[in-house]
Amino acid sequence: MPADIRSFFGGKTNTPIREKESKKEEDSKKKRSKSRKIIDDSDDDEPAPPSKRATPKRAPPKNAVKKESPKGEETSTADYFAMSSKAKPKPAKSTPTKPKAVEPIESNGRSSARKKTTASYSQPKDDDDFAFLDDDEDAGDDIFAADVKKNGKHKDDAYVEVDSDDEPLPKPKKTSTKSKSVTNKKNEDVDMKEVGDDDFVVPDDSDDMMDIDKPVTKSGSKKRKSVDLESDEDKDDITPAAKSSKSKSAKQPPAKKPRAPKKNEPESSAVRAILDNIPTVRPPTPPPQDPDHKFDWRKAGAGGGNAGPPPAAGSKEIPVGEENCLVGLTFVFTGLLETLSREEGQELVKRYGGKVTGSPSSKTSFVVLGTDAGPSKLRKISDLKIKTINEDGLLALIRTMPANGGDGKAAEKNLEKKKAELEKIKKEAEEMEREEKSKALEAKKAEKERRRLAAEKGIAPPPPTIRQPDPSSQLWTSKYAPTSMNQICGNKGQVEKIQNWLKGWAKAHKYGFAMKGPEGLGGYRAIIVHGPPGIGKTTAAHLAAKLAGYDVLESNASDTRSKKMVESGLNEVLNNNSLLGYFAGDGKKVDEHKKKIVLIMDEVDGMSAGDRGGVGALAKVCKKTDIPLILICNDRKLPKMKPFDHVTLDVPFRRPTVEQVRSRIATICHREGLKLPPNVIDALIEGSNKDIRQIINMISTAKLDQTAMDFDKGKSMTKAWEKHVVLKPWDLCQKLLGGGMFAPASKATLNDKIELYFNDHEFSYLMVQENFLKTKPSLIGQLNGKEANLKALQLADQAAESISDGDLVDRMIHGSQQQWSLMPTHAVFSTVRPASYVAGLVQSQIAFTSWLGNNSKMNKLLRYVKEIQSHMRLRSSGDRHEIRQQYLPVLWTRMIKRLEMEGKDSVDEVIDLMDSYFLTKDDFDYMMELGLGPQDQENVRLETQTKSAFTRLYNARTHPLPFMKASNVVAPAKMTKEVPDLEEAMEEEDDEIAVEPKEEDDDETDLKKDKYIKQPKVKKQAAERKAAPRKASKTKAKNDDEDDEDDGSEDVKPKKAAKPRGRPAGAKGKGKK
Amino acid sequence: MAVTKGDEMGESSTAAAKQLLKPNSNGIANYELPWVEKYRPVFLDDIVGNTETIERLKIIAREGNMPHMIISGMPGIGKTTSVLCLARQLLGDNYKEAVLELNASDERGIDVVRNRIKGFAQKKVTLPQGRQKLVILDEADSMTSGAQQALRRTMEIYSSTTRFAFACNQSNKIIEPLQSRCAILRYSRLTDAQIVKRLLQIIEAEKVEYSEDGLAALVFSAEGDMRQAINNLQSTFAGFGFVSGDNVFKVVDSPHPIKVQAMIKACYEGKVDAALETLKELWNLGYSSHDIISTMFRVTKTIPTLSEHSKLEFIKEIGFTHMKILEGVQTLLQLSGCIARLAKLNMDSRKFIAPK
Repeated sequence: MPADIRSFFGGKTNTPIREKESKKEEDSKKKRSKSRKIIDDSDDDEPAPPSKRATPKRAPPKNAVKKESPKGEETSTADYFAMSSKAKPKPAKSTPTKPKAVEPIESNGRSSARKKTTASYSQPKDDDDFAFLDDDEDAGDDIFAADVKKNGKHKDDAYVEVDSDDEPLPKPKKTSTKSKSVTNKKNEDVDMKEVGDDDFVVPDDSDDMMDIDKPVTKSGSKKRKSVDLESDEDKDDITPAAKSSKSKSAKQPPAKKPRAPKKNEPESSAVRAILDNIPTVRPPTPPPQDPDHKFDWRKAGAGGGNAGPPPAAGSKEIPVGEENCLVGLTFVFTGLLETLSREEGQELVKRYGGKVTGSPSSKTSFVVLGTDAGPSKLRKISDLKIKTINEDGLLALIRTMPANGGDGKAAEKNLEKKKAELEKIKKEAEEMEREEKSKALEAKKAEKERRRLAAEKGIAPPPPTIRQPDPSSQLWTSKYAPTSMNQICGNKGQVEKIQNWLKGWAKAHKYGFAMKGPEGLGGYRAIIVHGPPGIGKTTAAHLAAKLAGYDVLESNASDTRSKKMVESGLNEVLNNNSLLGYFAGDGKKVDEHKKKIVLIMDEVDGMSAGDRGGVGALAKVCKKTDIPLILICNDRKLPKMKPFDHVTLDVPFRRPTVEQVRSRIATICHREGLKLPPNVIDALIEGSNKDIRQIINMISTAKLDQTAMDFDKGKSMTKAWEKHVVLKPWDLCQKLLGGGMFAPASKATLNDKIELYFNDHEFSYLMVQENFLKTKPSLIGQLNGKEANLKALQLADQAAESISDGDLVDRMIHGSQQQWSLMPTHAVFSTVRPASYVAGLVQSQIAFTSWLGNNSKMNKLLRYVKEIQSHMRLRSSGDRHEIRQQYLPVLWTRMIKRLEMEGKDSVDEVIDLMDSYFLTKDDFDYMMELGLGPQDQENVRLETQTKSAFTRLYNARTHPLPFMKASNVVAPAKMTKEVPDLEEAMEEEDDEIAVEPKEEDDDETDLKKDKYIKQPKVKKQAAERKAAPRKASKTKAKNDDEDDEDDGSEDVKPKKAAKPRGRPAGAKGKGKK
Repeated sequence: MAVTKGDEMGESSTAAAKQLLKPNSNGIANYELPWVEKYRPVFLDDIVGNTETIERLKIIAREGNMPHMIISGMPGIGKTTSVLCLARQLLGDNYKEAVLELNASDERGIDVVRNRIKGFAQKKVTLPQGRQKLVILDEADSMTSGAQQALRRTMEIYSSTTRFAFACNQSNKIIEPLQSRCAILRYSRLTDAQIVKRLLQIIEAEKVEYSEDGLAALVFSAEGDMRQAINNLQSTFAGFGFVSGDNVFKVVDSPHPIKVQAMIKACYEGKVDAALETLKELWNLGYSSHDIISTMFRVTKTIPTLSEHSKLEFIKEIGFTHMKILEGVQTLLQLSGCIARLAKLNMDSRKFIAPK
């Protein structure tokens, strides 16, 4: 078992240079050096006994290594184990006879103190040997056991295969030891000890095991055994780790940071013992890093183990530990834990005061390891030599650690930190108080002054004009609004940026904003601050303005900001100075700098109904403003905010980190006399998603009826205060298909799921339909290969069936019957049931539903067929479907195919054929578009000449009309001047006109207007037009062609009724295209 | 029905428990008022349920400095009532001029927010120290997001003089920035005991004759909705003069969910006969197939003993039957067919193969 970890450390002591070699090589090298290194360790300790059982392999390097054996080694381990042994119920002092004898030779009598402790030191080494030996012995079994197991468990667990591939023959043994719990190993282990060991070791060893047995109570006996085994071996692993790192630090200063030794010194024994006794697990070797291999996040998406539910949720009882017992310890979670979901695990750690970080670092005390741990994390773990434990270890830790982390070093350190923090908080609170007092004093002074003045003048003292709002009747959010730079939580850089921008504004203005300056600050007249609510955007803007000496003018969503208002209202403001620059209240000095004003436009994205054109007008103002302009919005990415691109400087505000908010909140709590332990504050901050304002609101509400809050209360409060927002279709879909809602561990009820549908009942089911095949259903479970494929297919079938059922229901709801009472049924059929089958891992980006586009296309084509059928109905008796299915393919070959094959010559006959069926030119285009398969529009290659000849000829001839709609006759085209109701339409029309020459426009309208009535005249006109300006027939043809296409595109979009309207309709259609 | 009459648990305050209920005196002729209005609590002390939150409101009422609030929860659990009570207790005689109450019946577009509400916020009203004007926006979830946006800065700028209280059914219809500015109070459904308590007070005050099972039926049909319970009580009393279980269900007119639940359970266990028996019983009581099938749907959705998979399977069958019924085939046969299919779902499929 421990082979790997030891090899890492051992390998490093010996081959520090190799580390620097390319990563690819590294792995295999390490492994190669493994066997040797392991022997190093054990041989140092026990030169005599091992020869008995050592395999021949070991012998050769022995001597060489022995000499090398580092000097500092014994000290650390000795101390280390002396400490741990103190805590153990049965100290092994009496045992060491042999090792002692050996020891002096090596240590050269360096210190007598050391000798005392060597006793316990050598024993674990024995275990090491066993472990190693044992690995060797049962490697044969293990390999298969491991392989089988791995395959059974997780098919994408590639470690085993990769490793064994890499290595030369004898080494797979070691890799195979990865498999965690092979029971027979345990047996062999014990056997080995009995056979091969000196008598005194065995009892101690088993005692060790007993020790560990105690904390680990849960889970099947099999499991426990394996854990014990590992733990007792791994505990030893730590030893060499500490040892080697220490020795290294002594020898080669720049090497690994000596974490373990540091810990060794002042750590209190009791805590040390507990920490030592926590069963650790050996992390699997990180897979070799292939430089060519690109990390495929799609495939690896699941890897983190944070997606799926734990396989055996709820099977273990979560212990109740002492309060804050994990204080000062830092945990990292990786992989899929057995019974806890990752969130649960992290919450558990946080509840007891521990810290959870995302990735392992030198400060990490434990890594909680699950299956499928991330390779990069594993690599880091082995690099940094962090203790790894599994879930049981974590639970054991909680169970055994004393309150407040005992007197452990980490806890002490934490205590110190806490003290320092508390002091800081106190200081801040005092400062705040002082400020308040001075303010009150000032107010009093001013009051007095006024009275005095009034008395001098002989009038009765006027009533106090402005009553300072009593702080007790203020909202906490305004009471504790930051008044100075250092009170702002997070985004400090951004605030400074605003400030610098404001300071440099006057200068930049002088240069006409041509000089960008170092940060590009000088190039903008306006900035836009954006970020989620409650993180202090408005506050920061006000504060920055105040600090930069500006007077603030504010406009927000509660003011009307339509185009007109913005234009007229702002223009007045733009060249003004503030009155504050010239006058000031009684007894106050006039501040010259206050002359300047800054305009803060809050909630720019809140411009809505009634603010038509406001955004555009504002953007225009931004381009020419003579005063600085700060815009604030929540969502910069909205299409509505597009006009501000390139006009303003973007200053994104991010949510502050927990650390940034914590001290501020703690200060406020202290000030208000509310007792909140730090872990509760953290929970509040995280629960509210770092919305500072809401946290302050929360504690102010809590303060009403309580003076302290514990972790659970805080949790429940954040739960109740959770902001509910309507989910977007994408989030809905993600939640349904990939959110683990359907996992057995999920607590979501059926009602919750149905509620999701109602979050957006028009899109949720369409989104599910669009994306339901993009998941890897979790119901496939452990199946592999073909079985998995079959299962996936079955699930997809069931989901699709349910969706189709849902469609039936939908027809009853949205069809003629309007049975809205079926909505819940529809929710279940179309959304919840399909999701219940295919929910799992979403493997690709969630796409927006394509149904909308396809549906409108279908409607369009349907309309075409209808039109064609209505024209043909004097000649053919078929209904719509018959026309589409029987007539059109034939007509297609007779018309389009013919034109394609025979070219110009066939044009006449084709037109004859069309006339005989009363088909118009439009119908011809429709038929093109309706083509499918071999008749697909894409495959038709009509020559330009043929096309133009066709158009010309068609326009030149008169065509029979079967009938005319009344609407076609009246209202000839002068609806042109119809006022477009949308601004966009207006703009697009402008574009259109700009692009196309005017004359064409006129002709086009004429042609349209007279389409059926004055055909000859049209022809003349058209001919004239064509003849007049251009001589060359080629260009003429081209021109025609363009006309042609115009016609075609015109007819794509506009509704039937709008057809004769002529130009505007065409323009619209085009604009949309 | 595990409702015991004397259960004092969950009462919001001792005052409410002790007090003998007296009709409100704010109407001209009390007997004309619906009981819901007649017995609408005037003081926070009278409010039943949601003890913790109400206690907090009481502190606010006493000490002033009310934060902005969002109260959300199901209908009929006292949201509006508690806000009004709070306002009354906070402002006392100034209630008329210091409170602006707008509900969905008033226009609350962006213009109203910009003019009326903002104007009210700017208005000067002399109030005692620590008291602020109050804007109550009832049914705030029906406000447009534009109007809500317009409230954002108003709430902040005038917070020294004006506080806002929103009441809504779904808090997700309130935009996030407003939620961030407010204390969010979520009201839960009232417990059966709380409803019984209040009903008994009203029964005593109105001298209604009742039976135990009538009370149980009222509580059951109300599903935690106090207003509905009181309304049903009044209509039962007005219609029959005596509140018994049968009478209540005649008024409420929906198939008894307990019966339906038993029916579904029987189906789940494969007992077709028992299930059909229950169905027949319901049918003979005169319920329409619409009522029966939609109750079946509702009950299946929340039945605790079924696994989610079987719930979904059941709902599929029920849904299809529902469609058939809506298409016009409102016969017992359809319902029986549905029951049979439900039962078949959980039976051994081999039983249905004809022996050779």
